[in-house]
Amino acid sequence: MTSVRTRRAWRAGFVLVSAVVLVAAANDGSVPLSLELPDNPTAGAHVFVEKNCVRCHALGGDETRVGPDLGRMHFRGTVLDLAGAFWNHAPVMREKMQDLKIVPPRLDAREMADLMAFLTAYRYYLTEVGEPGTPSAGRVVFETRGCARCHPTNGDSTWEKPGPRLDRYRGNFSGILLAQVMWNHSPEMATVMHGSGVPWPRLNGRQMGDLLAYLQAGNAGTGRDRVYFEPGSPRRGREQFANKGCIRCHAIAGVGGKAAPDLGRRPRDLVGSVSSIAALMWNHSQAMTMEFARRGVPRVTFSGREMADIIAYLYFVNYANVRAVPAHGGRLFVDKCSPCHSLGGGRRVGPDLQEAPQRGDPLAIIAAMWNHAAGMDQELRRHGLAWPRLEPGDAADLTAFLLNRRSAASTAHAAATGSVQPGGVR
Amino acid sequence: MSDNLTRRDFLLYGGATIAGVTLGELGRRTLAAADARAAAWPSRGVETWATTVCRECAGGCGVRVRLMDGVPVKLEGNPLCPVARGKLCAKGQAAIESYYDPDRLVGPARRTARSGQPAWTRLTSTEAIALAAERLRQAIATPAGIVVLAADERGPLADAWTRFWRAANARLAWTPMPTAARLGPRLEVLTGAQGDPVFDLERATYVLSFGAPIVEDWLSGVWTQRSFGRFRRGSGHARGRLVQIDSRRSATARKADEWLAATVEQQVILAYGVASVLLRENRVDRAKLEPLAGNFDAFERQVTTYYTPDNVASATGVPVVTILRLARELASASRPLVAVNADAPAALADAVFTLDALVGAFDRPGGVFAKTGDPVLDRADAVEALRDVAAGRLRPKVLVFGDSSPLRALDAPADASAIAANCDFVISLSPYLDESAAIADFLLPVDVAIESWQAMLPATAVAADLVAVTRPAVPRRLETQDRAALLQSLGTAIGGSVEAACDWRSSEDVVGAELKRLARAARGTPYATTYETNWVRQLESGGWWASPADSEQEFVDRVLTVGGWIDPWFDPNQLTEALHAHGGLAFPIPESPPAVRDVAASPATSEEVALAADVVPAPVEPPRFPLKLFAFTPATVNPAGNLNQPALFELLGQPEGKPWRLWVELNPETAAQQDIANGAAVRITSAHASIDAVAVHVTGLPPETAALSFVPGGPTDGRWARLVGPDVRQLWGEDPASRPCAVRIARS
Repeated sequence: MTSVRTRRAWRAGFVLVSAVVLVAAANDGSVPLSLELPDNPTAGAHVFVEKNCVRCHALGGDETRVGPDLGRMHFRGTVLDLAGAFWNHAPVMREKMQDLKIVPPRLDAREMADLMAFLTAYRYYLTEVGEPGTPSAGRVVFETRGCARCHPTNGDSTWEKPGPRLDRYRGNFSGILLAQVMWNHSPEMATVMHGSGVPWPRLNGRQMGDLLAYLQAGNAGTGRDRVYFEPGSPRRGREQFANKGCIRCHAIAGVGGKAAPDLGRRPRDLVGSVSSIAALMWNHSQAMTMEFARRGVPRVTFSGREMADIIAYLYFVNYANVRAVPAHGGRLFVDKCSPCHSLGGGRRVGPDLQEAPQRGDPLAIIAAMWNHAAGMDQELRRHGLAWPRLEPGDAADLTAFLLNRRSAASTAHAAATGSVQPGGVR
Repeated sequence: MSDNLTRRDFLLYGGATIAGVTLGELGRRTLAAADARAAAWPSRGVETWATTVCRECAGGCGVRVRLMDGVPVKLEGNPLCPVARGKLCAKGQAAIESYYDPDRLVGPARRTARSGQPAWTRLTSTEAIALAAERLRQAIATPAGIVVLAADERGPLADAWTRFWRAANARLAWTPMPTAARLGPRLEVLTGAQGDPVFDLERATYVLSFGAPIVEDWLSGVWTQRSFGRFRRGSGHARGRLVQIDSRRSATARKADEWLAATVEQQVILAYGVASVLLRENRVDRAKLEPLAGNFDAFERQVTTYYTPDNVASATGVPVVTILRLARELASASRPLVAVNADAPAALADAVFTLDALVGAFDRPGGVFAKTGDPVLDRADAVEALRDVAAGRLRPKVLVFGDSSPLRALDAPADASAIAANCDFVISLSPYLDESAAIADFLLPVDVAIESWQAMLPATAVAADLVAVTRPAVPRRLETQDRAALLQSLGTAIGGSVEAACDWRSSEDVVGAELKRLARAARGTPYATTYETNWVRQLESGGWWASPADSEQEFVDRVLTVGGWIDPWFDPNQLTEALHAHGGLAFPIPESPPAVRDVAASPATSEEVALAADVVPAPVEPPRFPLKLFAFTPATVNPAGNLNQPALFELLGQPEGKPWRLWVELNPETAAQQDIANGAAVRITSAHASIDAVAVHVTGLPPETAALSFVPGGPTDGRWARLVGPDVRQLWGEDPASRPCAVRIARS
């Protein structure tokens, strides 16, 4: 009986490893890493305070702190690139924390995930930190891009122009609302504009932000008049992306339709501000409308919350879309980790990483690396070794390698015990 | 081993080592046993903390109450409160003495002797409410039959108070508190913005203060002192410079880089004098002023014509070079701010806001912002109402005191018996044995702050919307009543529209309704750390808001636990927007050249010197009252609360070391002429009365002036308050005590 189980486990392990190897071979050795999109990217704000990050780092504030203002940084890479940057600054941070008598914070995988998502999302939510829109520039956009030809402004009579007054949007301060309204009414607008011979206005993110600032300007109301949107959920946005049929045309990292651009391959455009994503959607809304008409499917419209979720998903689409090269990770391990750690070779200076508990997903590995950074720094200094720095992509490769090895080891373990453990590599 | 070590030495050292180790271990065990016994000893009790709101002024600072075995022992600042951030002033710290005040009223009572005599009969709550309701019912039908006076405060509980008395056809009046709200009307005259000014002291680099008690209790005491700390030594900028123009050497004047002594009237002239120099030397940003100029041309013409440095120097005694230097410093500072006391007269507030406009301080970091909101309607002045009652112009059937603040206001009539004589019936809701209780016929004491539900709007200081909300921190100690529950009981007994106006049963209901409103507002957050509050502000600036709780009940619990709610988003352009709507700045036009001029004290002009040389002076009889006396309220005195606090009396007259006494400040030269030593007992005499005080020499005080501390209270205010001294307002007689009084001072 035992021998049958063992054979089955060995067979399963062989198939799994072969699949990983085949996938790796088919993609120049790269494999996708399994990372979950954040559901609530603002949850990390609490971690930021709780773990005392706030004692050294400002976030877009005007206070001067010991550490850099993280609100001034724009994290465009994947979550693991950010984790790599996080790792690289550990020794400096440790010194500063010693000066300030702060106990280095320990993070578990969930806290690490929340913190990474929060730091990534920071710029997304706080457009004012990046490039706040200016009403005067927005007025120029409003007039030169043809909005003023249809929408009455303060001095105009409503019957002179076909569009509604935009005063109603005063007090609605979210760029999401503007994106939603513009998207939903773009077919009617297109009809009127076509009839009037007005060209379809193309906007960039900056112009969209200015337009929003212009529409908000002159609102003498207080906070009570303001309408806010709850921060979008990338996870819900992914569902919307599928439910609304976006995925039929747009692929994400190769998964989905081919009629429209793969949104997983356009990182720069999608990691700007809400305004820049809204501008992108606006610019291609006409092409999409035509495509809908060609396919005979009804045009997609969004509620405010749906729009918030979709835009959050598009912002985060590259965040969790991580490909890694385990082989390169192996070389990194040999170069940077093997002087102290082994994989299945027993304890050296540090523990055997194959036996370290709860390292089943990439962020758990990153959290564990972070937590042992203080001890490791001391050991490295004692042995006269330099702090191993991780370049962009290195953290992903190293994580993929460790997960692969653990997967192989667990397969072997399963073969011995008859159980199968989930791995972190898709 | 050394050859010199003998067996005897070895045994000696070995024995000594063993004995040392053994004795050391014995000692350690003894100490450990003692520690264990101490830990097991039940002397420490159980420590708990509760949250409440300080009500010693209108600042609304969050407070944590430390309770040992349920007994309050200490008040500390609430670190989550955005006003105080864990700090608390001396008044706040001392507030626990009000809870334990041995002279607090123990329950409802009725006077059984004529007014002013301390003879009372205890009543049950039911009897008290029935009796008060009967009186009120009779008075409702009479126009102005009920007059209700209390300290001005804002918030849901204050609104409930107002609704109740309006339903009872009462004439309501409030004692204005020294908050930014008092300056709001003056800012509105200049800019059209309906709201309170917010002075961004923290980010200013240069502050020219016209009597603003910045390090004492300006606008919102703790907030201001925290801001002052950052102004002086905040990171990222150089130490801010403070110039204090004040009639006396206040604590702020001591801490300032420069103090210029000037009376309030002289301060107005000096402010326009500085404005005149700014305009003459073209040190204002005309390009910025142009679009919002309003009547700028007329103002400039008037000020530059009449408020020349020579004229201003002559009127104020401040040298011309100093006036020129002040104007140049103000203009050259990167973020100048001109500040003014909340109690300042309209003319001074107008002049100060004008200077702020000229230096471009409106809607600028380190300048002045406006916090607009619902306009506050019909805030009649309680002191005016009291004067009407005292003079017999108003004869209410029932006069209701919500607290003692109207009687304690500096300008209130000193003779309270006239007030009592012109009312049929006086009801006091004050929990203390104070001035209102002294003239009341009927006492209905309410709970003190830490026993009460709280829902109040802190005075404007933080650029945000705030509501301080807490539940009672401690159980009721005496037979006092919840204020809203008392009103509801009265409403039920009176019936009709008054009963209908009470849509609550107690303060808890009013607070609960407010919390539900906040939960549904879908903005803001329960009080949180500085960073979390900033994060919410930044999120809201981007158009986002994340709910701080999963359910309404969770939100309510969190707000009550942390002590309040804040919406940190703030529109920093409200003044600019109001100016656009208002058609620009409406500068005050000073009607005449400087009129305040004291030749005896001021340097004479060259013409006067020449004239005097030709004229043989006639012998002049020395005036009977040669000194101008000003009254000031020390920062440790709380006119709206309980005076009977020994900890605060201990702080009176500090740092000169004159606690528990009234003191009068004199120029050392003036004092020397009268042979008055520093610390000597003196008698101050005016045309109306005489009082005793202690003399304190203050270098720099104008020789013709003196400043007297005003500590309200007296024989009726409890065992400690009556030790301090008489009511200084009797020196002024019928005149308002906010103006100088002619006196003479001599050794007693």
